[in-house]
Amino acid sequence: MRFTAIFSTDKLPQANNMLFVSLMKEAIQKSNPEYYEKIYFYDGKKNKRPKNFCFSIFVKDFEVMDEFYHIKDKIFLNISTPDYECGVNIYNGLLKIKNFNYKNFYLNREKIFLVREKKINDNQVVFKTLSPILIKDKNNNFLEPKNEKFNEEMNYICNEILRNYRGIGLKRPLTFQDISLRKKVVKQEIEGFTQITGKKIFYANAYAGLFKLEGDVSDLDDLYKLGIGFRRSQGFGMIEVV
Amino acid sequence: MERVYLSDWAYNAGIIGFLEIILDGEDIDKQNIIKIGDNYIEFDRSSLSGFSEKFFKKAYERYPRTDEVITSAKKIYEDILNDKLNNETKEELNKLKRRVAGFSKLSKALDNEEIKLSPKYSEDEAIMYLNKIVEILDNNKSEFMENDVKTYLAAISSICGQKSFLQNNVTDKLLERFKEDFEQPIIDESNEYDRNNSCLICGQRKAKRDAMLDTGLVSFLGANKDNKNFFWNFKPKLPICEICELIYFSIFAGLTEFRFGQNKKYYFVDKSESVKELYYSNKLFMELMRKEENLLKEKGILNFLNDYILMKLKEESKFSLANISFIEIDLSASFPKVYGFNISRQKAQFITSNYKILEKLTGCNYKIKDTVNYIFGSFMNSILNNTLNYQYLGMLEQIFINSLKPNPSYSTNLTSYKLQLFNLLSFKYIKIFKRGEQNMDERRLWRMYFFGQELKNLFIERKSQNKISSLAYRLISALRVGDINTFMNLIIRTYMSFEKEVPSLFVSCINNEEDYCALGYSFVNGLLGQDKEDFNNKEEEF
Repeated sequence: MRFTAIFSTDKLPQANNMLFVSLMKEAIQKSNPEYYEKIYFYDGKKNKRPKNFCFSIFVKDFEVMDEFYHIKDKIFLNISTPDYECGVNIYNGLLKIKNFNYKNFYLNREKIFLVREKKINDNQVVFKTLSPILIKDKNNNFLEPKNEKFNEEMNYICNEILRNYRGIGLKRPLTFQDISLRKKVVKQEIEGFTQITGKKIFYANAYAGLFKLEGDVSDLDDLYKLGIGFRRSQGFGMIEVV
Repeated sequence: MERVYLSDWAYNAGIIGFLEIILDGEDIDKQNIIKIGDNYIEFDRSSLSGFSEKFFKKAYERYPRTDEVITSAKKIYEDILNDKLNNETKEELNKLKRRVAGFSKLSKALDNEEIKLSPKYSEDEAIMYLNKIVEILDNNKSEFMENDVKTYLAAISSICGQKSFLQNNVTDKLLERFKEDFEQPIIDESNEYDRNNSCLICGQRKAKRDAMLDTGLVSFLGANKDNKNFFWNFKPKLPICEICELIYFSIFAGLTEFRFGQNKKYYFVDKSESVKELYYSNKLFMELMRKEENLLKEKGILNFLNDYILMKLKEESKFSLANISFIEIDLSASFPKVYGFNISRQKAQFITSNYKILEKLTGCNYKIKDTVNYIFGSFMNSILNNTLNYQYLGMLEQIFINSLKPNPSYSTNLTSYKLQLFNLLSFKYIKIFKRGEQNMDERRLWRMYFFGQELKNLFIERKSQNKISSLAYRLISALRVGDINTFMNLIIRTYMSFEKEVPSLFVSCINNEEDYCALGYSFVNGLLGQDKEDFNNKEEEF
């Protein structure tokens, strides 16, 4: 299930990922509090299990100001999930939020529409990123595609994503091939990070562009809908078939 | 005292016929003519006194042609006197004339007296003709009645052979002939016995000399020269005793008769548990048939059988129902068709607990060109054969949608409400019998039905009700092939177009295909929805 919500506003923070994370969380909480508790909390603590959705933001016609973007047209929030429960909860929640306020930034929801998903029938697919892919190792070091560990760590997180969604991990290992990926540093303002490190901005080295993925057809199909890499529910890893 | 035990269905039908004849309307529980045991009847030979008259009376009740013609002639006579000879009366008289032409004995008697009704008959001529008919019939009533019996029994040649008075060369004193052949020799014990053979059927009594269980006695039973190669030494001899012979000769009276269009069919409910059970089952069946005759013509026999089964199941669900057979004797076929049922206690309880719903669904059918297909019968069969699944419901849904098209090739008296009831039953059935679950939440199905109705109203508000059928068609197509993704995408896309929330019920059982089908069909039924009032009207219209 892939759908797009269109928002209008005049300005958006440059580090805007958490704004949309907050929007998504509020949407889920409003439509189904039990489901919200289930996916975001575990025994009263934050639940770090991968979520079954990913999203990306596309801003049409904007101007970069000092601290924020000046939006001249619309903002498109793309959401993808193979889990209808999750998708329906997000959609129903978004319907309940006509105006959203985040640290003096205001979003007005306009329209939501369903996007047709492409069917994957081949074990080799070229994807393009709709939001940059983030891969890191056990020590939280961001990895670039050229790094020899990149493929291994990508397999690890994809395995976890699939196992969390369908109970079965990867049916066979994935092979990642960079076609034209370029580095994209994403700025994030995360409260938890600020509390621990004292730093205001969290910089994530992610990669955007084209890449080829080889693997089992059903794995590829599910990953296409779930997204790949880390922090997918924070605006990373959403992909589209080229 | 002679004992007759229950046996195969034809013999059982004979026993019921024998009881029907000999009791001659007396209550089986209050009479003292015959003793009814668990699986046998017992009677004294002397109690057969008067059996022949009763036999003819019973057969005549089935085909009272003489009385019918007399009544009809008298009525037309009265009409002519009251209102002269109008068109309606002429029509009646012509009908009677045609009937008389087929009534050979009467026709011959009229010819002998040179009474004829000319094509352009006058009033006086008509009156004379009618008077003469009544006079002839009244004067020779017993003879004509006997003749009617022979005509009737000869007509049902799939049951009776050509024994005794049914032979072609026997033309008069039919009752007497029957008495001579059967009743009197049994009472007097004057039949000669076969020294070497016992009765093949009962095994207790000596066989009657030269009597055989052959196709002369019952057309579809026994042996004749055509099937002698099945017998040792090519001697197709099946010796039978005088009592069993009489029992077989009484089969006709044990069968329930029903005319369906041009065909006459005969039914027998066979239950070999006890004689009384057998008797009451058939009695009930006969009474229902008589009472509902007009309704039957509308509904068709298959559905009526289902009504009957339902009724029986309701009564007896506390017990396991085993070995109930419905025997259908079709005169157009050489051999009777036998429908058998064996219903477990659990299934009987299921049907009983859902009796009210099932009752509402009897009479459901769909028509393809001129062929009417009875849905309820197939549905019940699927339940009885453990083959019920959502495929059948899917087919019905598509037929229903097709029938809504401007020039439908299908028509049906189904409504979305009835389809929802079929859905509900399928859901319950699959849960109980296929998955062994006892707890069911039917409310979810009805909630889904109402969600469908809400969406329908949204379409109507937007004046785009023409989109409902196509959406329903695509939803059903997705359900029929188990494509939940397509189904969900259609649902979500539709709700998004109305900017409405998608009911979370849709995702509550997305991983369970059967539950999902039940919910999906409920939604579609609601979407196509008609209210209960519409449902009643449509039922009457059909």
